[in-house]
Amino acid sequence: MSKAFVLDNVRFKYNSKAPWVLDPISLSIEEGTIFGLLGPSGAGKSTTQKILIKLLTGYHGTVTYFGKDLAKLNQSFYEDIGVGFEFPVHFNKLTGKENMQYFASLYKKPIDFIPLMIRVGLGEAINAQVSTYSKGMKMRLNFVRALLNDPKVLFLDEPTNGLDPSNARILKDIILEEKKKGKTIFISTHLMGDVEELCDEVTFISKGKVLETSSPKALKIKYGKRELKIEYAEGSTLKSTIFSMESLGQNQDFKQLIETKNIVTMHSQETSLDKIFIQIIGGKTE
Amino acid sequence: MKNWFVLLLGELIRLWKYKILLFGVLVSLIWVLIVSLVSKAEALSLMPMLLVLDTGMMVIILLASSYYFEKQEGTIKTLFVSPINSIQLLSAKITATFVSGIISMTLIGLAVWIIHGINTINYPLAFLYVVLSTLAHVSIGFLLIFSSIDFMSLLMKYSMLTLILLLPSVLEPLGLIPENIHWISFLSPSYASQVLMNSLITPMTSTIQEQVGIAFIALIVLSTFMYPLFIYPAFKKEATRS
Repeated sequence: MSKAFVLDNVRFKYNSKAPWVLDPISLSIEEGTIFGLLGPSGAGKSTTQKILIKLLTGYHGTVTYFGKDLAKLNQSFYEDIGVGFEFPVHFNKLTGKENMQYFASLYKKPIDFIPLMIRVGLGEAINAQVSTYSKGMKMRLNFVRALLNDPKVLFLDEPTNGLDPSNARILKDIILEEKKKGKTIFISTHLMGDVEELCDEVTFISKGKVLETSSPKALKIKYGKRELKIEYAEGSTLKSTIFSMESLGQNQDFKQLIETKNIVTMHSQETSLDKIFIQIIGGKTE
Repeated sequence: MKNWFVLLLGELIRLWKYKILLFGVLVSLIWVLIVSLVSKAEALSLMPMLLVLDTGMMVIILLASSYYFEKQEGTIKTLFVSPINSIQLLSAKITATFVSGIISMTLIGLAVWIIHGINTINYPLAFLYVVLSTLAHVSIGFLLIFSSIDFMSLLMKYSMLTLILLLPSVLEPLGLIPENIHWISFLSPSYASQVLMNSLITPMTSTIQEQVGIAFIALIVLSTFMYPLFIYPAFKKEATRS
C-alpha cells in the first residue's frame, strides 16, 4: 500500500508575527485506510486539513500526495478529492438537486447523485429548497456533495454531527463501503464512538504537535486496564470483583466464581477513547 | 473554459433566485417609468445619470448583498475545493455583475427609443462604457467587502463612499473644482463613468474627446491595478479564512 499523504516536518503560522500553529508535525496517511485526526480546539486540526486540501500554502516542510509534491499540483487535484465540511455549504434558495447539479457540473466525471441522495434519506426532499432542510438534512447533503466526484480521497469534518443514530448509521456504512472500494478517508471528529468504529489509525495533536499515532484498538490496550469486572448476585445483594486478565484461565478464584455464583454482568476494563483523548492531550482521567 | 461558463450560469441563477437581479430589474423599470414621463430632452439628459447609478453605486450594493449571502452560506469554501481556479471564480462573479447594467441600458434605451423616438445613441459604445463603469465600481465594491467585518459596517462605509465618489459630479457643474486640479475628479470612477455616459448624448468636440480619453484611461487603470494587486489576493485570503 502506498502513502496517500505524507507530511514531513510541516510548520505553519498564519502571519509572521503569529505563533506557529503547526510546530512541526509529521504524519502519513496510508492509501485505502480511514485516518482520524483528533485533538482539542485550536490544536491545528483544521490547519492540517486546510494544508492537505490545498487551501493553505506557504508552509515549511514538505507535503506529498501519492509521492508528488502537493504544492506543485494544479486544480486537477480537486478531481481526486472530496471535502465534507463541518457546517452546511449550500445555496439555501436552490433545491437540494439544483445544488448538487451545480457542483457536479464542475467535475469531469460526476456520479449519479440521485441514488445517493435517496440512500441518505433525502429522497423526498430532492426538489425542496435547502432553506427548508433541517440541520441533519443539510449535513447529509454535505456528505453527498463530498462524494459527487467519486473521490479517491475523502475528507470528512464531523460527518455525523447533528444526525440521529439511524442516519448516522447510514453515513458510517457508506464510509466503510468507500473504504472497501480502496478510498482513503480523512476524518476529523470529536465523536469518539465514530473514531473507534471507523478509523484504522488515529493521530492525536495538540498545540501543533503530534502526541500519539496508533490504531484505536492498540490505544485502548495501551491506556486501558487488562482486567475483568464481574458482578454477581449473592442472596439479595449485588457484589462485584475484579480479576487480572493475565492467565485468567488458570485463576482458581475466577473459575470458582463462574461455577458457583449467579453472574449478572462481566466487563473487560479497557478504557474508552474519550478517556484516552483526555489523558493524551494532558487532561486528567480517573 | 467549460467550468467558467458553469460558474457564470450558476452565479446568474443564484442572483435571480436570491432576487438580487430582480431588484436590479425593478430599479431599471422605475427609471423607465421616469424616462417615460418626462420630455424628450429631459429623458436624453437623464439617461447617462441613470446608467452611472445602475453601473456604479447600485452595482456595489448588489454585489455586496450577493457576496454576504454567499459568505453566510459558506458556499465559497466548497467552490475553492472544486477543480476550478480562483481567477475563474472571481472573473465569473465580476462578469455576472455586468448583467444588471446591461439590462438597465437595454430597458432605458428601449424606453427612450419607443417613447421619445431617440435613436442616435451608439449602443456598442454604450455597452463598452457600461462594462467599464461596472468593472471599476465592482473593484471598489470588493474593496469595501473585504475591508468590512459585517454587512452593517459595509453599509456605513458605502454611505461615506457614495458621498466621496459623487462629490466631483456635484462640484464640477458648479465650477467649484479649480481648472488646474480638474484631473482629480477623474479619480472618482463615478465621475469618469459619467463623462463617458454623457459623451453618448453630446456632440463630440475636441474637449469632450479629450475628457472621454482621460475617463477611459482612468477606469482602465483603476481596474488594472485593483484586481491583481488588491482584489484577487484579498479574495483568496477570504476563502482561506472562511
